[in-house]
Amino acid sequence: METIPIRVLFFGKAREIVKCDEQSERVPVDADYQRLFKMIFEERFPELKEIASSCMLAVDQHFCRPDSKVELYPNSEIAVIPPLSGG
Amino acid sequence: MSSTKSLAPVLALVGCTNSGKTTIARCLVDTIQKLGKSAAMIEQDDDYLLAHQVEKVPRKHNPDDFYYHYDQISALNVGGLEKRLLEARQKADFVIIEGNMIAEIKEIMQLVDKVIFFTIDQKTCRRRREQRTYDPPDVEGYFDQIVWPAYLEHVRNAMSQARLDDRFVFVDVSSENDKATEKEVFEVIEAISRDFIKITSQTLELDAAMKLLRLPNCGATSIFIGTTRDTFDGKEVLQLSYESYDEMAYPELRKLCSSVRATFPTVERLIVWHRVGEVPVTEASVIIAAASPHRKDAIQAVSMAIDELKARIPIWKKESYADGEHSWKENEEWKVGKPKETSSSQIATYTKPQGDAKFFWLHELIQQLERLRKD
Repeated sequence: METIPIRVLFFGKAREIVKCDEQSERVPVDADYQRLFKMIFEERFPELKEIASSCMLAVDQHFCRPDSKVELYPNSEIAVIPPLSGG
Repeated sequence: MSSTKSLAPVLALVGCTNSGKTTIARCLVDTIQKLGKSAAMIEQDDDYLLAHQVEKVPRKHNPDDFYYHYDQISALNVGGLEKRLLEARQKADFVIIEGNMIAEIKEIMQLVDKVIFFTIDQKTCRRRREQRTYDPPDVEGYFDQIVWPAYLEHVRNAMSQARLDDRFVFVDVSSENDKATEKEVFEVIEAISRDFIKITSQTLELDAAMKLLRLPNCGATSIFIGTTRDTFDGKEVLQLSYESYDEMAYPELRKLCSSVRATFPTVERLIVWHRVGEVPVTEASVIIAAASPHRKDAIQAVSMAIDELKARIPIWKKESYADGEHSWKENEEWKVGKPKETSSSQIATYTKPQGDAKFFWLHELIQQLERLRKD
């Protein structure tokens, strides 16, 4: 399976839990949302599991839903989005 | 007489390769000339150094071979570029300078009045880059190793500069099609001339917002100011700070303005400003304001904008309490309905002023620049 390099970005509480802003990872080029979610919250950063149910992912600056079609490119940005609190 | 002529305003068009900067610049120059004024256009890419003067970077997958790194300032003759800009400022009524690195060149930025930074997504950029021929031609892997990482760096730099520098405006021009029409160019000009978006670490000034909203045909101005509070659940709040995912927040804010505009088409001007970093208690963390001919639309537009902001703009607030604890807040609006999937950003335009819209919005842009000059 062909894999590509991507960047995982953390914000707010997620950033605090993993203690970093950004991590480089490799994922299968055809990974879907569920696969990315599992990879991030279970395999690579299990410490995020406690907040997983309240988080979303954004791929290349677009919000994604579990049924979203995800298109990944080299250096794509996957952001872990905990509950928003702007305003 | 050149000795009495005031220096021309300088507009910088910056951003991703293949975002359409050059097309937009040419279109603006053309239209300014139709208004009977002179406009000069300066392209950064005319001041590249010769290949042998450009840094060589080993290729990741073949270290014996290398790329010429054209996506960094050291590949440019900055002095030459600066000289052309200084001359153009003396001669023309209006100057447009375009290039992907302009915002990072100190000498040039000292001369610039406003920066429009065009962002695009990788899908759009990659597709367009593949369709064009470059001199020297793109070699395999150049996009992945040099072009895109350099762009991400440029965006990050520009957005962090913008937190302290009000001259920056961001507009996302990701699109399914590759040839911007004149109509689309002026939709961009309209969007940035009527919707004012800012993510800043500086104090939010209501006076500055009011200046942007003053219009002869608007009888109503509605303003929401969100300020930080000193207590939460009986606990004393010592400090509040906000963080933002700027690369996503800017295009999302632009979309927010478009959807507010679609719902309340009589809104003439919309301001959405958010402060980030530490915000002392009692100071404004957000200002949302709208101007329209009659009050209802202005009031409802502001209400919709703050609800949407809380539901979908990637910004987070941390409260630190006197007892040493802290917590990341969660907006009700987010809990009720998490954001839907979003596609590439769209700029919507709804009202057309009398006469030709393109001249109207160009005129507006020029006026705003001239006002900046006076302030």
